[in-house]
Amino acid sequence: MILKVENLNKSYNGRKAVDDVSFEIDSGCVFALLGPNGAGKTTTIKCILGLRKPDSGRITLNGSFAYLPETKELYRHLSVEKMLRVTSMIAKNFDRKRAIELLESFQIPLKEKIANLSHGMLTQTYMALVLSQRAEIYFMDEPTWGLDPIMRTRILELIRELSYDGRTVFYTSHILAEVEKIADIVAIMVKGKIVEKDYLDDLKEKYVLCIVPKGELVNGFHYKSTDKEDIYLVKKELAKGSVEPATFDIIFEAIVKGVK
Amino acid sequence: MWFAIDFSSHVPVYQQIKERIKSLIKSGKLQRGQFVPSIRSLAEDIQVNINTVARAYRELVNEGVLEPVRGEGYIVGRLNEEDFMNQMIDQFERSILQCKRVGIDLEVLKEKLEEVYRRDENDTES
Amino acid sequence: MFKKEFYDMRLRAFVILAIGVGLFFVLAPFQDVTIEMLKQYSQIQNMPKFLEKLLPKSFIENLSDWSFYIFSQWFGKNLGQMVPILAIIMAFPLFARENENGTIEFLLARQSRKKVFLAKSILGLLTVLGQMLVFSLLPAVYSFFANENLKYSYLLAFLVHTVVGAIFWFMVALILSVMSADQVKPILISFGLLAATTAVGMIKSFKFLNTYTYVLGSKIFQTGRIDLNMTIALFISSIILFGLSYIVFLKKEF
Repeated sequence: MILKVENLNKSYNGRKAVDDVSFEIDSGCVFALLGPNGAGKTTTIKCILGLRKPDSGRITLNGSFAYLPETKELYRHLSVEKMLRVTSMIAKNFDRKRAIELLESFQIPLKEKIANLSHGMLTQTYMALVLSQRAEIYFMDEPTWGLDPIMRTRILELIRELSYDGRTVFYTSHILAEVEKIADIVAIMVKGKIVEKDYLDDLKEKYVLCIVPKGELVNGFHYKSTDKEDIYLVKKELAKGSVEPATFDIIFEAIVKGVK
Repeated sequence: MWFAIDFSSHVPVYQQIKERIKSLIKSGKLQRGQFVPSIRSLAEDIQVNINTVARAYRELVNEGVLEPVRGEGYIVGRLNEEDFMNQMIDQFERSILQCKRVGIDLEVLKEKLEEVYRRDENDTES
Repeated sequence: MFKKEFYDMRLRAFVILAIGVGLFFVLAPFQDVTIEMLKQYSQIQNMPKFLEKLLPKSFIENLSDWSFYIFSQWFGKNLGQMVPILAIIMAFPLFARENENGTIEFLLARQSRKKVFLAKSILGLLTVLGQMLVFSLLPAVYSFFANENLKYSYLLAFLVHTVVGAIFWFMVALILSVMSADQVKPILISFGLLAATTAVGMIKSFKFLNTYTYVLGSKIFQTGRIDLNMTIALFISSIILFGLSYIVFLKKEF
């Protein structure tokens, strides 16, 4: 167990951003925190890393970490090359050679000023800095936001490689397709609460869709309605009516919609 | 070794891996006693997480499809299905004898046998 | 960490140093010219009353004394006026720039808050101290080479006033820099405070608020000694501001 969060709470001006959240992450796994915008994912990460102060709760982080923030900001007046130099001045376990290799593979010009990089290139540069820092757990907040599909696949590969080396990854995203490809464990966060958390494969086995006549009460998440039927996402053992398998997209959508 | 995984399918990824390996064995592409790729190299080849492949292999071992070889990896089980079942029955016999020796009543064992068998049946049905 | 901070502030530090030193060399060698100019003014027949008040004859005579010239024109005027401004310029971007650009997250993900705070504030403070020492000791060095006779006992008093005045305004800008999410606020508020305290300090009962009287060394001219009360008061205020900045930084949310 590399990270344990117990009863984390955080409010801004009386509005609960993180509402009594608890979870654990084992080392070596890829943990994805999923949720719509404003669900509290970024606040959760920032509380874990001490950038924000929780109102209450306990956080145990056993090991060194690296962090890719949601807003990818580097020193704009520096060139990429000088940014590497500055990073090696302040980061522990930073491998500059590895960073240069990664930047070259991303085709980032080292002499270019950070201010002149496109959003995608800036994200890649920041990613290279984070991946070149040796740590036990990597926190990545929306690492693929705004990248083109090819670059996104490359970044996902790099994230998976971290887990091959026994490193732990905690990342947030709202893009389901990529989560399905690389996450071991998925936690779905809605309105500050973690509503579901399990192995991705187990989630697919745990839930089914059931189709019941309109108005019949079912203990589950309402997914959609047709003229004469209601369709619910329910745990297998609670299913009634006719049953259909559920894909992860459907599971996610139904859970997010179903939280009042 | 490579085969495509359908991530968006409702079938769990580890199940897909299990099915593919079983069908490779059935079609003769993987022979009895032959090594299958290591967990890590299969994970890299088909681009899934190590944990997922590990889980598939673990279940395949439990089902007698794969056999772990200490420190070296996994081979395709040397027993065919019939032999594997016989082996399981042998194991069960030994367990029954052990239970008898420590003095567990026959009725208790019968009850337990039915309970466990039925419970699992119900689980797979629902 | 220190290395990175030095990298960030070196341009500002050297420009300020160059301005100060340059200004001194514009002033120091021209004692005769200044006196000549002022003498001509005062010899105008029927000199207007207000000018006579501004330039009493004794003042011009005093200026021909090297020590008086340096202390009144350098510490009491050119350098003195700049001290709070230079200190504020060194301090205001330290944290505010990282807050504004969002790069503070980059730092705090790699170093503890304590280290980030100390590296920034101490290096900034040392730089300001260095600059002030150079500016204050320049007259001594110059006098030595130019074979002029300087009253060194006064120099020490002016040095203390310059340094303590600089530390105080550095700390004022520092705490504003820590609190602010952008760079404009700390510099505007610092200058605003400087102007406001000086203006309010013109009123007799609020005289203590006028830090310029202190930095320019009026008391030293009057008594020949350090203004001990004000020195202690400003020094203690600086320490309190420093401690507060630290607490604010530890508790801040990013």
